[in-house]
Amino acid sequence: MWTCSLTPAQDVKPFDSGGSFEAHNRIDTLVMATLKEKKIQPADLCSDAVFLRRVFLDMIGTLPEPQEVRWFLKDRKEGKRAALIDALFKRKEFITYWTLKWCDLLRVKAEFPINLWPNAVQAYERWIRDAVRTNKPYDAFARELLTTSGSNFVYPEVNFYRAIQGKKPSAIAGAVALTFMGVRLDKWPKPRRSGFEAFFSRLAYKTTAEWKEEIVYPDPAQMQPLRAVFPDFTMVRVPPGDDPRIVFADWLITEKNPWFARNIVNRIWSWLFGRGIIHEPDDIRPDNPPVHPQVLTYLEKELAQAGYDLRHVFRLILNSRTYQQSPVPRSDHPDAEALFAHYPVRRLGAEVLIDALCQISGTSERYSSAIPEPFTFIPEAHRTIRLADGSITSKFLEMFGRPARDSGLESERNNKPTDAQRLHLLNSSHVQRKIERGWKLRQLIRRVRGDRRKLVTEVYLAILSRYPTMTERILVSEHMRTRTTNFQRGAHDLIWALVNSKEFLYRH
Amino acid sequence: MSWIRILFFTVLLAAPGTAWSQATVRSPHIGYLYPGGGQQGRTLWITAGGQYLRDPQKIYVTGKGVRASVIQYMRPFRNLNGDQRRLFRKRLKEVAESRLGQRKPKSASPKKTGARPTRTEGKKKKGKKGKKAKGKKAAAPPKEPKLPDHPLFYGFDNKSLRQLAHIVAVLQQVRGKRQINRQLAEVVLIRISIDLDAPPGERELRIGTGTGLTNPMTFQVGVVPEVRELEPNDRRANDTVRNPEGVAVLRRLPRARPLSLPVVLNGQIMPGDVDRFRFRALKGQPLVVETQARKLIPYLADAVPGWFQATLALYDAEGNEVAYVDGYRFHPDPVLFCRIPHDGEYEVEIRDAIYRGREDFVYRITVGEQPFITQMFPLGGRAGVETHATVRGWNLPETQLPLDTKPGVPGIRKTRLELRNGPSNPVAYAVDSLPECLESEPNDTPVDARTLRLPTIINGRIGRPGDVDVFRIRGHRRQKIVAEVFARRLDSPLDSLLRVTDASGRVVAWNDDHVLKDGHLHKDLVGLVTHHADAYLTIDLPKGGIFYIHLSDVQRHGSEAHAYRLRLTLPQPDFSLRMTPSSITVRGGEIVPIHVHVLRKDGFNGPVRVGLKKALGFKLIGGLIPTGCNHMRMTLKAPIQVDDSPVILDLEGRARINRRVVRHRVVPAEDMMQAFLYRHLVPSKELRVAVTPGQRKSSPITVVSRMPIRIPSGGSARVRIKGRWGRVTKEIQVNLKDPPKGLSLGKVTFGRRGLTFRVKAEKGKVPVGFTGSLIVRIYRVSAPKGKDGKPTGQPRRTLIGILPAIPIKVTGRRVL
Repeated sequence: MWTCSLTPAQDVKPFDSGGSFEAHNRIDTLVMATLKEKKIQPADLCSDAVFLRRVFLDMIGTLPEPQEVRWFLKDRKEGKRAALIDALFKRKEFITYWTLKWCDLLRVKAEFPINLWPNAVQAYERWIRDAVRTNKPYDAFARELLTTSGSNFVYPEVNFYRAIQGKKPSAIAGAVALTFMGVRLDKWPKPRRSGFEAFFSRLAYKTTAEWKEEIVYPDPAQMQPLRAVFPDFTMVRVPPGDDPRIVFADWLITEKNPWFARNIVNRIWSWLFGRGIIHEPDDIRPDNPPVHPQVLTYLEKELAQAGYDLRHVFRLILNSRTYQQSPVPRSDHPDAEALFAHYPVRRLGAEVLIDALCQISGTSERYSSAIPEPFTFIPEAHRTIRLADGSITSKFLEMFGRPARDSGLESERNNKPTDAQRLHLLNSSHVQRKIERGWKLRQLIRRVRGDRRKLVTEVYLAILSRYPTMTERILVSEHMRTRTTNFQRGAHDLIWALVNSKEFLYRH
Repeated sequence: MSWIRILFFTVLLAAPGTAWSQATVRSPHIGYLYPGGGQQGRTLWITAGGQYLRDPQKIYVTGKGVRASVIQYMRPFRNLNGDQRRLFRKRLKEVAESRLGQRKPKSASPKKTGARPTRTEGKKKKGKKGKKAKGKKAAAPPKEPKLPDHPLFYGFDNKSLRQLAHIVAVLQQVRGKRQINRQLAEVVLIRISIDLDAPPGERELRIGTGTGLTNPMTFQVGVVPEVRELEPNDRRANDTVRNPEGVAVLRRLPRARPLSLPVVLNGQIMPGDVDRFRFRALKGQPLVVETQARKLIPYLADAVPGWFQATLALYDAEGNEVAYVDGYRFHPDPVLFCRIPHDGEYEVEIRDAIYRGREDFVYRITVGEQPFITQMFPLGGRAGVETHATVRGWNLPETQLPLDTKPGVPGIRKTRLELRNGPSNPVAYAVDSLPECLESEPNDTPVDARTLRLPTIINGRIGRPGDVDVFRIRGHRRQKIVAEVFARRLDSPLDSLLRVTDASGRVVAWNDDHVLKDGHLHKDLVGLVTHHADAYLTIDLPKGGIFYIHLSDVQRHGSEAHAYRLRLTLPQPDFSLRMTPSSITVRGGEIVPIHVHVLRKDGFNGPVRVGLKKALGFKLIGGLIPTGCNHMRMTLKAPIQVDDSPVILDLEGRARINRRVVRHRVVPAEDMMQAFLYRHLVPSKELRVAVTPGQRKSSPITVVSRMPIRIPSGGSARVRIKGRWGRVTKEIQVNLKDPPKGLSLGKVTFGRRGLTFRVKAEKGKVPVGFTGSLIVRIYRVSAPKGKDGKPTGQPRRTLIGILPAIPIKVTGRRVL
């Protein structure tokens, strides 16, 4: 199996496939129009290897296995990229990875300052996971989060209202605007804000005699009519007995609403490219215009026409040539990256990075929590992207900027490289143990039986998801030849060097 | 130390009177039974884990057809030492190879044991040791290692490969994540024989030890075959051992046959544990997978969440999740319903929702096509009137459930459907003597409301989300009317909201949840309901005329299952009683404190006198619960000797209500703590009192002062005690057990007339007119002395006795 076709027929071009810009879909036409206008040369189409690794990391937060790399690179069929995208939608990791993303946005965290507590966290995460698994239409997803009442354990979606710092209408309105409209309410003038906050002034919370059970429901004590103002300045009178949250949801979830679809398509774009068409993706306001307004409008329409099927938007973006561009820019225009003239490189997220290290080495991480009694011990077979609770963490995750899930802001995830991160990867017993003791790497070294050529190929496939170039082969062979120590140490050196390379650490 | 532990110890210090405070006086306590039940017609061994279980003597099981006896007490077992580990590896290899038919084990015991495992290790080695001990004194032979005397190793030589893998996996768990918990560390091995005709359902099991009687623990009698889990089964039903102690065969175990349905799966969830079981099912099979976890152990004092929060998942042979549940409505025990999508093998998975685990995370899962009722209507009937409820659910060939409405005490009863495919889940219903009627839709607005004549009970449903049922009544000025919903207490998911409006639509009164509690102690009829969702209103009508009662779900949900019974009456004052604990140990002739709680209804505020139904030589002291008082500490004095200990006692409370004497049974209950904080009165089936041999000539300690003791508010009162103290007067210590808030112990002195102590009443904290009783414990505190006569080590406190309950009254003026 793994011994077949050790090397590709010709030498490897790691990042580009060359060729002129051919639009794959409407997104490309619209992007190209803006780039032409600004006289920016778009990047080449990325290589198959780069696409494979990119789409695996972006869609399922997982590295492709060496065998998957071989199959994909060997495949000469037209439309294999589109077929791969469709196949990845069916993977269990797709559900896990996008549940993680939504949990970041919806602040799924047991401890301070969110204080959902562990049992509500598991119920809420499960609800989100089910929504992702069943591909719940986004309008239904948002409506259920906004309008459901009940116990936080029995109707987990009500945890949306509990995962907010504060129970005052102002705090709730702020979270609703940020999540579903991509708007930061603190930038609105006070009268506009208070009119909007009124929609969340009739919410009540009651506890029971079950530890941390809380029921979220419309306050039965308030029986007067309510005056509220929609974000588009329309005034509304909510009759007594009606739930103002439902009135607001009815207004929000319509095709005509300028915020609802725009917010989510812009977020999806930002999740796949590292920056939104409106950047920051959760700071939509008139003085922060989109760089490709037509693309945004097009995606909004597509989302509504597809019945708010988010996977449709994913599919459009992932199949576009804009997404499939090389990370190597062909223009030195200062706005080239902001206008998506090439794929923006960025560091892997903390959870994806540690999972990648575990996947390569065949090791696992141990996660536990001392909040509940007896303590929680997450099974070792669980990957880090499956961690439901933002409070369950590790030094590695903290160091590599995992979001705190305190505010739901996209900027909570910090992907900036630091010296501490570099040192950890270069010089920690944590990474060293994985390289030296991981069963997968041990097995890999054992299987190549001292063949350096095979070793280099296998290690490159496992870590960088591509074949090595001729130059790289020569470099590695020279290094291993100069060493008087054993083959195993040479192999460890190679693995260590690749794990510390930017090509491994970055989405590209 | 995590904050949760700090909170735990704070709560322990601050809230005595629970099972925990009993543990501090070394009362034997059961934390779990594993397995938590057995099949009719079977004899099985079970383990009871707990604390202070040394010297177990007898097992008491409620109900007919179940007999139990003690096999052995075992000390806490944590891990193998070096020698034991070496021996274990050697024996493991031998037995595993023997199972494979490669060669016979060298040290295999030839004993034929049949199906039942034997304790070969401990006893055999003991014998040898005994012989050697008689030999020469000179060179002591090297200590031969032996495997611990633990059920895990019994019949080691006869274990199958899967059982060997189980032992290895369990030992690996011990080394890993287990937190030491003394409250569960001791184990008693019990043999249980269940008769073929033993009625299925819940029993209570208590262990009688040398030091007393344990708390009751639930044991289930089932009707279908049962199996116990075999680890490792975390990722697949028959997983392989990761580190098989050098025995490679355990890495590739032969595939076990799938289980046949119906079956009851028994297991324990240890830290981070996941258990899977494989079975075969056919396309279209209506499968019901019902878990019993919280039903076995309702509350865990030192767990957060305060019980084993199980989740169930069903996977097909390809590992795809077919169904998942983490509860059943508001019940934490999940019930999974699934119509099997295609023929094949399936795996059912159970774990704790947040991957906790411990020995007391015990479960029973019934898998099969057993009947399960999901909704019932009406939720009760009138006493003496033949009533049939319509039921819906899974695997129910019949939809009519006859309700037993024999006249008796109004309240909640339980029944189940007995069908060919087995008994259904039990369902609760209410019986009352009042006239009843059914709601009829449409009745969503005052215009459509039906006029009702009081008193009445309406049986209805909030049939759809947002539904409101409105009823019209006519009343006169200052008339008191009671509206009470019975829904959640009868397993309905309804979270009722009652609103009363006058003819103009003005809200006169409303209520959402009605909670009866005393601090963190929740008092309800059932004891297991944690959300007191049933609304209750007493309305003092401001004027005469038409009024409307609006009933809805406060969460705005609704379905056919959202059934209710709405009682609309004039106040019907009444009460019910609970007493804790339900297992008592007392030395002959001595006194033990008990706690009686009154659940008052419809404004009943009068005194209740509690007494023994049949005295059997016992005497209840301080049995008067004064007007307005909701709980009372009393004392029970045991006879010097009881022939058939432990005895079952029955207490009864009497009160005069509307010139009529009303009697009610005092329901024994356990005061159980949940999640370090909440406490619940969980009813038990019986009150058992174990009387240990007393001293016939012991001189009693008595109160000489005139009672009730009258304590001035802001002052103190003297209590004089008579007893024989000898020369140890300096070592006597007086202690008030759980004194009412604002009352505390003052100065303690010894004089010619005996022991005197003062009781202080803090002004403002205890109201004038307060009546209650004090439980006083007398201790002797002694410190062991060294050769130089100076005390060494920690002083020891020995309980000399408990005084009979001392009635007190807080007065407004100073009493000398």
